[in-house]
Amino acid sequence: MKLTAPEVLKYAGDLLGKLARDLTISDWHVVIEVAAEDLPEVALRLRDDKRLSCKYLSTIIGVDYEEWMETLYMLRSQDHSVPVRLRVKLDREQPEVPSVAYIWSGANWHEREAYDFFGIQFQGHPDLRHILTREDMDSFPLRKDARPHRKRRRSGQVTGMDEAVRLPGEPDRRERS
Amino acid sequence: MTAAEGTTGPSSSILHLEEMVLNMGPQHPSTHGVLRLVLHLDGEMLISVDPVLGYLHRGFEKLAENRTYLQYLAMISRLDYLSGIFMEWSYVRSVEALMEIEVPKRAEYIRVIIGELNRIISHHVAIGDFMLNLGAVTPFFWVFRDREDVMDLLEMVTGQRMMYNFMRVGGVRWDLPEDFEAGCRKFLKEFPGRIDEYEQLITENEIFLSRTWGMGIIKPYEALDYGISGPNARASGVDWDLRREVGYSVYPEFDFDVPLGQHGDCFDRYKCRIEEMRQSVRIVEQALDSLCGGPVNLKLPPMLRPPAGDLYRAVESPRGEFGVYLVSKGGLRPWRLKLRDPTFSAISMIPKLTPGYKIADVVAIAGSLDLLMGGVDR
Amino acid sequence: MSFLEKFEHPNILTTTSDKLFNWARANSLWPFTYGLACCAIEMMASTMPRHDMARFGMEVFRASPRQADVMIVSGTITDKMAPIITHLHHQMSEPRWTIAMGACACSGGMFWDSYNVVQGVDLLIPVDVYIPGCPPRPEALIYGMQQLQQKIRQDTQVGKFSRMADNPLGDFVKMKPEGGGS
Repeated sequence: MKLTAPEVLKYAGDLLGKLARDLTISDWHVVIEVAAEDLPEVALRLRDDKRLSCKYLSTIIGVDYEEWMETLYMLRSQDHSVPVRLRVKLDREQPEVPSVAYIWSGANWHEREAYDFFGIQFQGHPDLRHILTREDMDSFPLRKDARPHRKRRRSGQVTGMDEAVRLPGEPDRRERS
Repeated sequence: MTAAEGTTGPSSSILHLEEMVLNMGPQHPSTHGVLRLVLHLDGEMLISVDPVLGYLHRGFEKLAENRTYLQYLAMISRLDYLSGIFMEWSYVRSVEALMEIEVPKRAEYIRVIIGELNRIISHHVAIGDFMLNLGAVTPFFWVFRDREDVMDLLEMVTGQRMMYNFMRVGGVRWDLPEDFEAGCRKFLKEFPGRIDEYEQLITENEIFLSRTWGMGIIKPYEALDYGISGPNARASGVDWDLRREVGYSVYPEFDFDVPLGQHGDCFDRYKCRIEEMRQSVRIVEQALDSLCGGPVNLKLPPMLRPPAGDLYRAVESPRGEFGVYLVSKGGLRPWRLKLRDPTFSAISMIPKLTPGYKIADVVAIAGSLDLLMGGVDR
Repeated sequence: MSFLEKFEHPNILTTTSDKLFNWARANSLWPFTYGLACCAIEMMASTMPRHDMARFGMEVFRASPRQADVMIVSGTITDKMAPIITHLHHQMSEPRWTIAMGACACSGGMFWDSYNVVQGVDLLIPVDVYIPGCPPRPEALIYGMQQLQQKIRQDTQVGKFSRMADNPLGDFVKMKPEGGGS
């Protein structure tokens, strides 16, 4: 059955009750703001409900708004075509949120990516480690306080490689002939 | 999982057998780019597979914060480089939605035409590469030969063979040249015959069937659980196509079928792509018939300042749902740009699909999922 | 070793042998399948029926570095990939050449301010021919290969044996665990 966004909003509001801090419709998506500790409960209810049945997790997005951080969960359903967005506000210094990797299997890698870029700790994640950046990278590149962008290209600049690449005894090739 | 003497495990109680770890490294002819698969093997049988990504991680999302909206448009088609126009389309849709502008009708039709032609050539490489991995070299040569014809058409319109840089916020870059329509119709008339040629060679081939039938089955609920979309999910019977569900651009005006598979094995994924190529031909024909007059661009200033806000827009790219989540704070550059790639989710299924098969089957399964590391690693 | 001494200085013997070796090497270059990103697709397209690279003897793409002559680095090199590209280059047996194909391999390309991209493959391995473009057309790649062929035809074996005697491990001296070389 095809539902409209206000209908989905009403169903979600009835289903979640107090767990949903804020329910709005933004640009035909239903945006539900939840607290970090309520997230697993909300996710389970949205997934298993017969009418909403948000079985498809599109992606998990981390955003750094200098004063706070946010994770967004984009959900879709086969039964109605209204996308549902879950929004969780996190503390910037210690961003922690329970993992939903056991609710939607695809969340495993999306959470690893959010950790990789922002350092968000997903509690209960089976295998939280770097996925796209190097394993020994200790900074989180997409944070706003990470290393700023270079202003212009400097010749001979080799980003972050240094000793990792040169074999013992290999000359330093930064001086191009 | 070490099979010690006398204990359970895939070994006899006399021999001391261990699991072998083999690296199917980032440089490999069959891993579709720089994907590293760490295989844990018992002889030839796979126990588990661990994909290692990031060998092509160029930092697209961070670079967006240092580029204006128009500058980033030139970069974004390098993401999923075989279907570059869809990356641009998704990005441009999100900026247009933030700015609440409406694109001229003629521009929408041109977008659909170029998009569907790009879908055809992307599926060409998907099928050709899949065949090459299975050992069949002839289809690889045939698809590249036919790809060149489409790339001639696209070069006629956009000036580029691969990275089109053709979409603009508010339309497309310029109008179609006069001789495009004749060339395109000629191609569309011949192309179904070419698809028949591929099918004649591949679809009932005994070797192909034995290597792909019943392999790597994705169940429908698994596809939804892992976030698989596009032909990979439709081959499992998940009837989901953003062109029909969301109905963006002018797709609601066209009459086309969405091919669905039944079993969700490698063969069904291949067959879905073949049928989608036929449907793309239908769509392009209808779009050429419906082309109306009018401007193709709203001629917006190059330094755009979308109002503050955030939204998510997705298009149906040849590999699935490609989405762009854009957060703008009203400045010249995006605050946060997140790119949702369909192949990222597809690779996450490989550890689930492959145990119990042999190494050659990993190659078949990975090939059938149509992986492209540019989008995965971003 | 008196016969080999004849190869120390240029003479009629060396020019003939040079011509023979260079002709053989230039006309049967075996590329190494090192497609990383978008340029790899154009590299594939250049071997395909429309722009046929096999006419010039380069159709045998080998996946193993031991069997390849020329490494066409096509695509962006990231920090994670950098040790692997050096390793593979060292694994290729001499004579070996490198072609940097595309803007990313030449100098980092449009990813000049990325935290994870190496600004050009010549910071890692020596490059013989640079082919700019994003991506370079297959015709550009074929032109680049022809430039490499011209470069090979100017090569000479003169003095190679004495150089080998002084430095038996050649390029591999740096792979010794004690870290020989400078």
